[in-house]
Amino acid sequence: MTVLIKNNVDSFLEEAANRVEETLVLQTFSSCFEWANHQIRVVLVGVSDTDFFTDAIVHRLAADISTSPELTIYVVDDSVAEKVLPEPFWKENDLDIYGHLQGITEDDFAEYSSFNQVFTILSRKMGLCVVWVRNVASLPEWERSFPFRNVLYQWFKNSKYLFVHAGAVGNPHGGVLLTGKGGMGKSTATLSCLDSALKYAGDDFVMIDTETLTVHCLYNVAKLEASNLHRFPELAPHVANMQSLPQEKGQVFLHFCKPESLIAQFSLKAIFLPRFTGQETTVLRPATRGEALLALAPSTIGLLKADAQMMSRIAGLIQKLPCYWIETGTLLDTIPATISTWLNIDSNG
Amino acid sequence: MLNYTVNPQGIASEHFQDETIILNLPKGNYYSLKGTGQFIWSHLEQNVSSDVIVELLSKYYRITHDVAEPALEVFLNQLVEQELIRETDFSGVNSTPGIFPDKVAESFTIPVLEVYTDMQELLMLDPIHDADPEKGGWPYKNNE
Repeated sequence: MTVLIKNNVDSFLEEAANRVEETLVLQTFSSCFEWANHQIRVVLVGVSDTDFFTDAIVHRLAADISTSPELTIYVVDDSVAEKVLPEPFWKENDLDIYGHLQGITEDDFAEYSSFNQVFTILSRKMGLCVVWVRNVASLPEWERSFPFRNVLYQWFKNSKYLFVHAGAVGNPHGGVLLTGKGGMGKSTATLSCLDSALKYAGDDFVMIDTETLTVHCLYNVAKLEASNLHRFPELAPHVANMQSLPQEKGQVFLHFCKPESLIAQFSLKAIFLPRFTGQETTVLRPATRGEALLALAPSTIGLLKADAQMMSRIAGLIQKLPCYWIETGTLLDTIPATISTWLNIDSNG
Repeated sequence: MLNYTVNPQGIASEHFQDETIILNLPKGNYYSLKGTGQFIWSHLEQNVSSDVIVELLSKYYRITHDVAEPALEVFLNQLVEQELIRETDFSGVNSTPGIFPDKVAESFTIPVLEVYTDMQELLMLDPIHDADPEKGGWPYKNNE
């Protein structure tokens, strides 16, 4: 195996940045997005379907663009912009069996994902990232709902921010995470809050400031199974990928159809674990922290392909918050009502 | 008895007052331990020898060695089967101050390892597929 040195990553990214910035004709999009006051610039090169990468994060477009965003992500569609990037410095056998580039430092991240043919290379020190896509048109439709999830996770990985697999609803005074295994009713519980006083910060992944216990909305998409569509008929006209149902979940970009339902951030007050009981109304019961960890950690770690140590960060968050089972009723409006009542009692208590 | 140590790769555990959760990334499983199981796992993490764990079980739960030893052995076998622990040559430490309070527990129950396999597909890393010859082994440097 070739012994790679740090300079290879730096020089590749530097040359890539120079070449992309000089190839304005192939740039189809360039703008900054902002999460928790962290500005991240996205440049799409040779990408005709720019919405694929921006629909889910358009609500986070920066109002005032910084001249020096902390991270710039170049997405290059190799099927169109073949000669833009420099030649790879890695060979096939420089990757381990999971696609991770060997021999780079902890500051860098480089991984080849074979199922969608995307090579991602990131330098935390340089604030540069290249997402090299074989063919954007071949990316699975569901990636539209969480663009740059892996890049953002890697970028914030060693910071106070924690990415968790959970829904999040609340109001400017506070809110809750909704998390649980598939089939427990997480999506239904989250979607049921859309037409309530509670605002929506996500139904899949959210970013949490573990020092201030603030939830930050990453994506404005609401996803629902075809089998759940009858419960939310008002969302049906807004499903952007109706042709992909029922194989994939329907994607509703709330920024375009219900922008008033979104909230950029709120103070995290509790973790709720939905479970469907078949009763009419919704009831809260105390949950143990172990139950909360079982609900939150495995899917978060699995989806992010994180290491086992992430469990202790998630446990640290859980230790700071009360945890409840939310036994969801068939009367969907009792779900947001129960959450709102708890939040009111919490804020007054 | 043979001594065991927690596997160093991809295993993490979190202790709560009434439950310990263990994650095993290489196998894609996760686990829950309560009561006696928590007691034993905590001592394994501290590299306590099996003989000493038997002593501690006997003292803490007021049971005889004849009850403690076979229960521990069965439980250790379950942990080995799940590749959570492995046999070790070292003799282990003999005391673990502060892991559990120095008082007698209410009752002894057979340690149970609750195994969750429902996230295997998600938790286990997928090996990358062989390069498709039609796609020219993209994106790699050409072999010289």
